[in-house]
Amino acid sequence: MTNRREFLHMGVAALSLPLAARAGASSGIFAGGDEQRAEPLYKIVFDERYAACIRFAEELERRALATSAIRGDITDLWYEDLYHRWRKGTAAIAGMTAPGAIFCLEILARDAGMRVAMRVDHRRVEERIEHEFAGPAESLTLASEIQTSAGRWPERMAEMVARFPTERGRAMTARYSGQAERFNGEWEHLVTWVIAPAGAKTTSG
Amino acid sequence: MRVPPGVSSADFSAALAQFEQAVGKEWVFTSDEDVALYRDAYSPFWGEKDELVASAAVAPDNVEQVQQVVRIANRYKIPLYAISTGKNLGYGGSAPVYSGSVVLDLKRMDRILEVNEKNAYALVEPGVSYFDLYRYIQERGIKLWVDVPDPGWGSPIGNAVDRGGGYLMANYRNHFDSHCGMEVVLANGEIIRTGMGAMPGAKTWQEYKTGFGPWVDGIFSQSNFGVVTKMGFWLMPEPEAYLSGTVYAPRYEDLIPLVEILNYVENTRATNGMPDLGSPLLGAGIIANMTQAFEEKIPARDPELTALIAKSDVGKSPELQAYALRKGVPYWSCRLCFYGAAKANAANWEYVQEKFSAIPGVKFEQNEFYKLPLSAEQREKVHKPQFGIPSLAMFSIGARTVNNPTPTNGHMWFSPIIPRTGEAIYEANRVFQEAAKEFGIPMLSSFSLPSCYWERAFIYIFGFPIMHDVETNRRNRAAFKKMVRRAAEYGWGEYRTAPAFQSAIMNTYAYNNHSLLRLHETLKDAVDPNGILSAGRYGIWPKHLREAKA
Repeated sequence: MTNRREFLHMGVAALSLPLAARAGASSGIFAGGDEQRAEPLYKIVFDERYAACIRFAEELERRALATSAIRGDITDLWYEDLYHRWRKGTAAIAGMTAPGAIFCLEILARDAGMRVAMRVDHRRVEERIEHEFAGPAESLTLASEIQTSAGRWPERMAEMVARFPTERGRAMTARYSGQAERFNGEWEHLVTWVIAPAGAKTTSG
Repeated sequence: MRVPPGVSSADFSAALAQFEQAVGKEWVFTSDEDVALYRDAYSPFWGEKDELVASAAVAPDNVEQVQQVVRIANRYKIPLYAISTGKNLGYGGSAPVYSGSVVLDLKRMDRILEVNEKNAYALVEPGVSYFDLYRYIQERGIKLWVDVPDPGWGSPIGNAVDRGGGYLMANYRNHFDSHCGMEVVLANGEIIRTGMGAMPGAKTWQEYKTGFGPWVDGIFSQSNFGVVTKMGFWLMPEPEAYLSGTVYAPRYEDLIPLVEILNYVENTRATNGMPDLGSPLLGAGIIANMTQAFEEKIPARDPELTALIAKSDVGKSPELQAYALRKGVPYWSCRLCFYGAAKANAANWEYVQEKFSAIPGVKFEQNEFYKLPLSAEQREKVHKPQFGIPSLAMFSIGARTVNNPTPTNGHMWFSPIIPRTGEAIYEANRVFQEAAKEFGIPMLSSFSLPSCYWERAFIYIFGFPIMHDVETNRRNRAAFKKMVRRAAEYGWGEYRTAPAFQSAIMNTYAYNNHSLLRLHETLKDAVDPNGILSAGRYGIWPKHLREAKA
């Protein structure tokens, strides 16, 4: 049975987290080296209605991570899968979905000792995509590569998720802008996110 | 660490230490990051100093621990705020009405104590969610349905005592009405059981509601007179079949007989599911299609029709009527549902068609027919709560899409009750459209139709947006209160609201110099003289806080 103390020992979930730090504020930002241990991810969630999400999931499948497709609604994923897994104990998940899906998962994860440890909001703004990062400093360098990744930003996000650190430093925010690839008007706002166990080891205060 | 208002740091520390002894150290939460989890995700005060927040939280595991907690709270005059699962988004969430209260978190009390298939009831604790109860029933192959709200992650007890509703047959849709028997811990720590539960060894606690003498259950809903720790609910036996059909009426004036006939066929149980009003002409969709309406690309409306609606008098004009008749677009629709034996459903559908045929030019369309239980494929097509299946699908409609270009960070529901007549719908639209213009509130649709959750009255549910923008939220809160007052001027009161507006709405129930509120306050002072339980909930403040506000 889940210990409520575990799930409550966490920062405010990222939807509501006022992350005060700004990008690059710390000179000791992790440079993305492989020496950092990656968070084991139980499941990758993606919204199969959107090509960007499919590409994100395909990249992670190539890295032998298990994926689950949704179509907006997370009810079945939670009811059939995550509910059972999280009753056994915490298990990190990650995904690229519409905001409604991560909102629900965030609230359900609280009851299971989990929290949103990173989110990147991707918003279409005319012919560009704005990427708003909120997460641990260790992921910032990988996140910043989104600016130079041209149309391969979903793959960059997949890489960042695959290397999401188990030991995390201070929370950071950053904004990036990239050229949009060809859209079919299929989405306006997507989110890349990681939900991880509360009380993860921290590398700094 | 925040200290509740009016409580010394020493007393608070002593109370917290005793809470820890009562429930275990790991179930008392005091750190800022722990307590922040009880923020209302849909708070209309987001980022403002006036945001309603907790000072701490305590999570008992059983009724004995609840008793101990309230006794300790009484000793030190600590304000508590009881929640079940705390997911009542749009009507409050888990944040207290009285900022600085200690949240009494009942999520750990998640036992399903009984599900009786033969007599179709359940007895549950407050931490049981709709998903939990549904799963319990499914895993055991029990042929009962739970009437679930949208969304289904809340608790039957929390939703019922907040007087929420669902989608099944009328006698289950009103969740407080469908309860049978309560167990309540009073502010002094004493336990009472209501109805037949007051009799030691009672055999019918979940079968006969009122017991003997005054029936007090109602005072424990939308109130703060006790902490509900058990509650019975009547469940719906799985019907053999489901049928839905739609009545289409061609003229503006048809709404009046349409509602009259609807009331008759519903009150005589010829139709037993939740009716769903719409307007194909004016673009007012029905609840059953809500998710699709947000997700799918809506066909562009005929520009001629758009222009006619814009020029109409709240959806009415001779030109608009002529357009509707010329193009064959119905003014109104009413979707009806039938649960029961397939033959009975078909006969009832035939009967209601006869009744609605009194409206000249009316047309009918049969929509869905399912033998129950649903197949996996059918489950994916339907609005799940109408089949007793809890779902979170409604959250997938909140994203920014082509049909929803400005998504919000939440909403506060403005939910006035109006009479169940066509005339009232016309009047409400006129009043709300004019008020929206006057108060600077954008209205999404040119004509709004009410919902039919309750049998004997209509309810409008308008969502006021909540943004992570202080000025916008201030404007919307002010507009919300103006709308409440405007509705009250026409005799329309809200059925339920978020903490930020509970006192404002209670003040509109002002008959005879607020005599009902004064009775609530008399009761409050009698059963909770120290005012420790959920101060301010639904506008009921304990004496010392009333005096402080005076």
